[in-house]
Amino acid sequence: MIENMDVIICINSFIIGYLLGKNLKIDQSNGVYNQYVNNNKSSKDNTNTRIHIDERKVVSEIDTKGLEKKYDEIGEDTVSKEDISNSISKLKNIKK
Amino acid sequence: MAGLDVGTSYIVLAKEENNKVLYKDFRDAFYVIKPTTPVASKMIEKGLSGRTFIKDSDGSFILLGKDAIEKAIERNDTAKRPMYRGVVSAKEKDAKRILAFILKEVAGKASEQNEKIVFCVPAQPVDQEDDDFDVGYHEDIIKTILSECGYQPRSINEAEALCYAELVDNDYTGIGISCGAGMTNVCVMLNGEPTVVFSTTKSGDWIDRMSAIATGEQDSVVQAEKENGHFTIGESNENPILSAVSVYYERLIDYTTKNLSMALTNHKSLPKFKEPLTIVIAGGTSQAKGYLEYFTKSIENNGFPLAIKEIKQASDPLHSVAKGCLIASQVL
Repeated sequence: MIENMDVIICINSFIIGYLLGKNLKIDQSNGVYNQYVNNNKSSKDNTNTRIHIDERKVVSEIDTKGLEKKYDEIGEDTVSKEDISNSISKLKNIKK
Repeated sequence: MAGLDVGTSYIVLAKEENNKVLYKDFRDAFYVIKPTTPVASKMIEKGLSGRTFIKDSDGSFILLGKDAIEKAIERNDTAKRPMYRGVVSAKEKDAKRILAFILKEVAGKASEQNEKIVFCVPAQPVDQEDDDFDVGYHEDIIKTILSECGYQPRSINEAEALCYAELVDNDYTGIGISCGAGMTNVCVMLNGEPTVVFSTTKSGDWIDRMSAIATGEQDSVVQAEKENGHFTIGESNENPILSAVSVYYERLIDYTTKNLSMALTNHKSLPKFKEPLTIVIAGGTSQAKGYLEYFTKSIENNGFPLAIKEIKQASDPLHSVAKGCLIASQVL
């Protein structure tokens, strides 16, 4: 009789322990899941409100005043008799 | 109105006058001589008489253009460039100042306030990503300089300008490839609209550099030999410099056509062309003997994804980009 009682207590203890353990696991995983969702949400919120800084280089003053010219003419000049008016009018028409 | 080709090796201004196009070319190079004593300064200045040079406030002499290259060769040295791979050089401390000086001299003052000027800029390269290549900054610098001269500046892509100059008989549809010193720029155009633009960072300067390493010569010496033109791509040469130049030309063309094929294969922005396309090539690097033939062979071997009608050289390869900018200045 006492042995039967022990067996019943052991089985009950096992079931209670199993159920408690299972519930705790669910709670923990839910916590992690919630945390993951929250993190994801917050990072999404961050991208929506991300502010960009203009990192383009600034062109500062280019000072050529200290350079003294010591020649008369610079470069080679050539004259071409080609007529570009046809190219201009055709491009104008095509771009309309 | 004016067009300006701001190239790594040449700066070319184009203006129209009485139905003729006037070009002004200037070699984009400089060479600095720093005298050590006042006597040396006087001697150097006398020796430079007749050459194109400027005197800096610190007493140094800066030779410009062809004279800079000649002087560098005389001294077994290499001339400096205010531009590197199509944009203002980040390597040279004086690059911006010298480029500003040269541009102001070549473009001159605008004939009227806010005269329109269109200049060219390179496209983003497909084979280089670093902070040194900043097209936006380069563009802002050129705009600042030209605005100071009284112009109203606007930029377009270099290969787009080439298409405007050379594809008039093809309804402005085709491909323009500008083979400059610092870069190779490509534009695929459909009815006057650029649809795909990109660049590669290897061109004439790469040939000079690699040939200089192979032969132990200065880049300027290789450049001068190369520009004399006594070689044909794909043919052996008794001159070791030109032999190396010829070999590196083959490799460059192979690299360019492979990049061209790869960039255009399955490109989302590429239109479906109804007819085979004309490809037009320009720029100083494309002027070597055998370039067109080797390019044609190479493009066939490297799986180019579009049907080709013809591959031709621009009528005036050194001026076509400036001419395209001039045309654009009257249309855009």
